[in-house]
Amino acid sequence: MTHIIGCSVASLLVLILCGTNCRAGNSAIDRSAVIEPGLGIGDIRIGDDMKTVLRKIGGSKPEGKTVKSGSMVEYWLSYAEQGITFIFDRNKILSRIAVSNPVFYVQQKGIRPKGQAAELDRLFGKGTKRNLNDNYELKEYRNQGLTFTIDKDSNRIDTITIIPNR
Amino acid sequence: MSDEIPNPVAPTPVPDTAQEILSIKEFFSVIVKIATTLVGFATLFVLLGFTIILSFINNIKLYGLTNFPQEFYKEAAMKFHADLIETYGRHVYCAIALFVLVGAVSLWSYLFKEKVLRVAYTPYGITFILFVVLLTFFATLRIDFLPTSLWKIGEFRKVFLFMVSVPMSSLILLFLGLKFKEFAKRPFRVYYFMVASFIAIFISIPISYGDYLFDMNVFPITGFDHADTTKIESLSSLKSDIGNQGKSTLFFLLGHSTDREILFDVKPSDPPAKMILVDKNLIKFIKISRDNIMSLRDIMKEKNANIPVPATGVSVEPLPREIQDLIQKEAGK
Repeated sequence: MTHIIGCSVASLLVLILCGTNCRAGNSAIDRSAVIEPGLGIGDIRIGDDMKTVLRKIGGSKPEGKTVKSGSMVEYWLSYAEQGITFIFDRNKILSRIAVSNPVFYVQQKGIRPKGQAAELDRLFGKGTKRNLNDNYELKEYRNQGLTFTIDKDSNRIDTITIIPNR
Repeated sequence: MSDEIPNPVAPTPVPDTAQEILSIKEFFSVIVKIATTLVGFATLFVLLGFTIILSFINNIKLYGLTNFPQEFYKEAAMKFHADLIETYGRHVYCAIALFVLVGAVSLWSYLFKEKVLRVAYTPYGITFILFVVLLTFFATLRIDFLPTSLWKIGEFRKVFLFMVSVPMSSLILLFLGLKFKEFAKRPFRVYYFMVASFIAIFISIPISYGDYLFDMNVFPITGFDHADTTKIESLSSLKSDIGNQGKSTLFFLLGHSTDREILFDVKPSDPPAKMILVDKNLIKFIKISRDNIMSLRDIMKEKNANIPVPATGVSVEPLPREIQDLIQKEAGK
């Protein structure tokens, strides 16, 4: 009897602590890694308010910053471990989701952050290119609900951003 | 001479208070016990804070830049205790589960004491205890390997530290206390092993807390309180350094170190923060705000490839207070 209880406790501890190396939890972000262009990721949808998003994610605390440019105000909430940033407009409504963790991939297309930028033309068509700075450029597919930030040096995708379909 | 025979059974009259008064020796013994207990607790308290601060400033690469006074240690130790109690309060179901588990194990050990001891002292039992202790020790030292949330438990790292490592360390201490008499009479190997385990886990708790959980506030600098800053050369140069703040860079003050103060030049698009060390006398001229307070750990973070950076030319500021409050309220659930 003692052996059985001892082994059960040991197995339980091992299970808990072995599960620790996979950093996935059970929040709305962790449950789904599928990027739905123009819509969102998992339960989190473009157009959700900040409170709903925070509730759906639960658990960990994001790093936040206010980004201002002219009259534009945005609130960026980043979850560094999951590699995901939620961008809210001044009314605290989710307007974009930026992911830079290769665990996320675009539905049906399979492309991920850190993937080859050369693949984009084949998968999504030409798109519009815009220079961001010396290191990055932006490739936009506004009618498909996605933009891609590309590292010029490596020609790899740095960030995939989900935007509302236009 | 009286004929009356004294009654041999009659008690000798004794003053009422005689039994209650301690002898001088006993009195001093009690005083010494109280004093050593208080000094012991105070030393442990400061030592706990010292270990937390040391591992914290080491972790965020501030070690050696300036001296941190004892106030920091006390603050860190107080925060540790407050965090411990808050964690039990916030994760009340985990706390109940822990108490039930500890209660059940204690009851089981009490009811089947002979059997438990017989198994515990076998190679199998020792291996099992060693396994659990080592697992706890390594997991405590590197709680950053644990997920931030597990199932419905938010703040899982904090929960692990306070609800697994701390009780484990306390249980080992309890075991050592109960077995001390036996140890004093005849030393045995298990006792040494348990002492080593206790020290390992006990030390790893504040190290881990300082490395991954403890944090300090830094305050945004809003201006200068001296009418003519040009009269003080260093203040003048500091003013010109800070003069451009609000565009894309913000300056924050750490405060209350002993000799020099650290100002952080925070450019959220290009972490980690750069630092300016200023003379302590200079900070009496600096005006700071209590709004938009930032966490030291956040601004000292190395550049994180997992966070996209805003485009150049935009200004980046901390979140407004209402959003910080909302995050605080919702993120812990």
